[in-house]
Amino acid sequence: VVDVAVEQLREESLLSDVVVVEVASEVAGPFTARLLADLGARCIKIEPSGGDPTRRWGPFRDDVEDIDASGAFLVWNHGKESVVLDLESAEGTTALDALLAHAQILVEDGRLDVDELRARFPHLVIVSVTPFGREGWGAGRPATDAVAYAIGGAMSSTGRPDRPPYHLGGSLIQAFVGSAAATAAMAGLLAAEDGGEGQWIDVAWVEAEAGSVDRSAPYLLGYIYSGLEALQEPARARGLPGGSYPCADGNVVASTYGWTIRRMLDTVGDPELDAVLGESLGNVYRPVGREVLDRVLPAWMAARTKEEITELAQSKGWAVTPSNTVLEVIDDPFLEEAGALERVDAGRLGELVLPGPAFVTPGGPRFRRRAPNLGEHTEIVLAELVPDGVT
Amino acid sequence: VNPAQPLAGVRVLDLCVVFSGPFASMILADLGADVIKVESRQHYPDTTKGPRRFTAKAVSMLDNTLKGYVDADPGARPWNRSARVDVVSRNKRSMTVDLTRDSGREVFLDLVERADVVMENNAPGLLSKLRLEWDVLRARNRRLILLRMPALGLHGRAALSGVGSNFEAMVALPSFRGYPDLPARDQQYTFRMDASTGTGGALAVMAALRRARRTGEGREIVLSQTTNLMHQSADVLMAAQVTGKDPDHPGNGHVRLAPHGCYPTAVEDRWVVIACRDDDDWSRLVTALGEPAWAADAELATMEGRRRHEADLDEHIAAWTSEQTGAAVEDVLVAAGVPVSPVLREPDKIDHPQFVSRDWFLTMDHPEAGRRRYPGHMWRTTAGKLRADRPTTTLGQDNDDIYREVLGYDEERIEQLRREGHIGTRYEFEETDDPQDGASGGGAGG
Repeated sequence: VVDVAVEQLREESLLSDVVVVEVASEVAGPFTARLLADLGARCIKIEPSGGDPTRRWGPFRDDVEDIDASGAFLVWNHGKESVVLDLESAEGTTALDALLAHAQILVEDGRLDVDELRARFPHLVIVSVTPFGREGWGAGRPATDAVAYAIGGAMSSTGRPDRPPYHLGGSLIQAFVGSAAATAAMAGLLAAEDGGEGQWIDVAWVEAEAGSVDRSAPYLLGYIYSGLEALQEPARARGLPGGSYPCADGNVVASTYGWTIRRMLDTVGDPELDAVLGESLGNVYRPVGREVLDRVLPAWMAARTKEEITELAQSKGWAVTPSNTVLEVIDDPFLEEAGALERVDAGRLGELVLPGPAFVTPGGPRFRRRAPNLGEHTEIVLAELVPDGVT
Repeated sequence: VNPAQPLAGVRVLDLCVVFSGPFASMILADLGADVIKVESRQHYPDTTKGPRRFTAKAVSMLDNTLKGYVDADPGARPWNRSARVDVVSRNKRSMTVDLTRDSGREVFLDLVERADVVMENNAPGLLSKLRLEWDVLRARNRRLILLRMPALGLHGRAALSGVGSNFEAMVALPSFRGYPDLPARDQQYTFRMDASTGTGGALAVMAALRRARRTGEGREIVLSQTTNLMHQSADVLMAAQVTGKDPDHPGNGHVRLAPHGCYPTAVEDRWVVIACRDDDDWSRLVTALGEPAWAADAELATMEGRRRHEADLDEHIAAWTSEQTGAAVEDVLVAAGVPVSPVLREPDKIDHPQFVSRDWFLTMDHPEAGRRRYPGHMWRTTAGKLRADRPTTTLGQDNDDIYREVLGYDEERIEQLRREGHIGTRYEFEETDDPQDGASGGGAGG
């Protein structure tokens, strides 16, 4: 016997019964809430009248500023509703209170008086996402991705020994922090549904990064254990035959180590290479093997495309993949096959290729709708959720 | 019940390898789940646990090789003294069973009946090879959640093998970091996939557990590690499409901000990061610098103008920072409200007031390392402490409890499984390679 209600619930989005209120801007906080929105949570983003600053980050189509069509805002905010409130005003805070009464989760980035909110909304899971946490030495201090990476990450061992270390690019730190904070929010939700009590989760960018793998925490514990710190390494310190190789239409990355060199030899099928390396697997650092390898392998790569090389190598179990530029990502046949690319309607930004679902399961995450225009849902949300229609 | 550990009572069978999957399951263990590493005496996972031995030559020549081993000594059993192993083993239990044999497979299926979650990130074909596909597992336990985390995909051309660096390059992460004067192939790897799989996998499992609590039904989840990672760089993917061009290697510059850099200090090879998020940060920086004449140029009042003069700004700022220590630069700019930090090395982090003031490091007793500090949890909560029971787990350490209490096997069956080689606390190769007890501290083997 099929229980219809159960069947329906199963097919719905995993978090379709959850309401998230977000009072946050830029990347880390908004991405926290967006990941929950991807899973079907209703996410109400509170913005000041000027909007989240990412509405001005762009890029914009044809370079024309448009606060409702900023690429950065789209990426971290699609699937949400936008409500403009002046949280400095009594009307604004009254409306926020009314929304919080309907919410299970509040994501904020340091602007709210959380102790006061907790007293009035004990059921709420409140997730604060700030660079240094809401208490302690750095509370309230500003940071950027690069600053957080310098403190929490493995930045000191990046780059070459004769040059400065460098940062990651993009918004990789804040985005990772957002993913950690969404995970924390989910844990808080499970606890609240079990015990009826909310909690205040305090996520510091620098700590989320410092506690993560596979560089930050391992290097930190490695130092604690061994007394040896991670150092900048000379280029190609890992040596051939691993690393990045130019090929006919770009670059590939080969991960080759120890006994997997056999798979490389099987793929390349070069008698000379077999002769020098075949009997001393793992010992490619011998000068004679190295000389032949440096000659044969780049030539073999240069004669083939990324796709050809990847297919040949992978058929022998050799871990070689395309190394793409950002624009090449969009046309990568392996990403396409994996469902990693999704063509979405981004509203006034037009059609864009964005990442496909982060994981696949019935009711799992998906791109739901374009990012909201500034205040697009103010009236409708307040009319629906705020008693006496405060506006 | 500790609401900081809402997964107490949730049992997870952990078939994960290397960093990414084990990080995901460790997050669940931190939240109270009973995570059981299902290991095998027959198969040494060298990509997870590192080399089995270190030659005396390696030990003497390569300092860096020893980084990460307790007291810089891999000992006779390096996998029990390794930071890279411990950093994803916190709070877990370990049992041994050889899944390649029918007798071991049956043990695993018995465990599945008593578990809530199975997670794996092995080669795409492994579960089929072991005849442990979703249908088989689900037949034993309708509430089961199976999380599969292939690098890219499970089927067809997407079933590629490789490590994080392969797939980070596939989605172009190294293409937008690094020194501007070097070609793509010379840029350093980024190492972001393991971290993102950890949080993404844990989030997926919890969302599914929540649903299973209501419906009594589990599910299969396939998390493409690469696709999941792409969400963290989707801004770059979007920007390339909107602008029609690939990003440059920015060095320590920034696509939108200026000044933004990593500047030298008075101490050789010590650096300080300074970033201005907006015009206000810039005017605060200028005030902190003492309103130098070069900063008075009206063009510099806007981000656009500063970006045009990025190289000049960097030169002036570097001249200022290189006369001071990083700490002095930090003091001045923190007071001014400008984002700043010296680039911390690992020793700096241990005593850094950020981590000390929030009591971030954990202290735990390790069987070989003794009492040590450990990197802390990724968040804190008013609900209580996240779990920090044990800093590592060694092969088969919990066999007794798991075979007796979880599986409920009688002594006869346990003895049989022990004779068959399933149960034990040493790898088989240890018995053939090295007949005597290889207790730790013996220096480099082989």
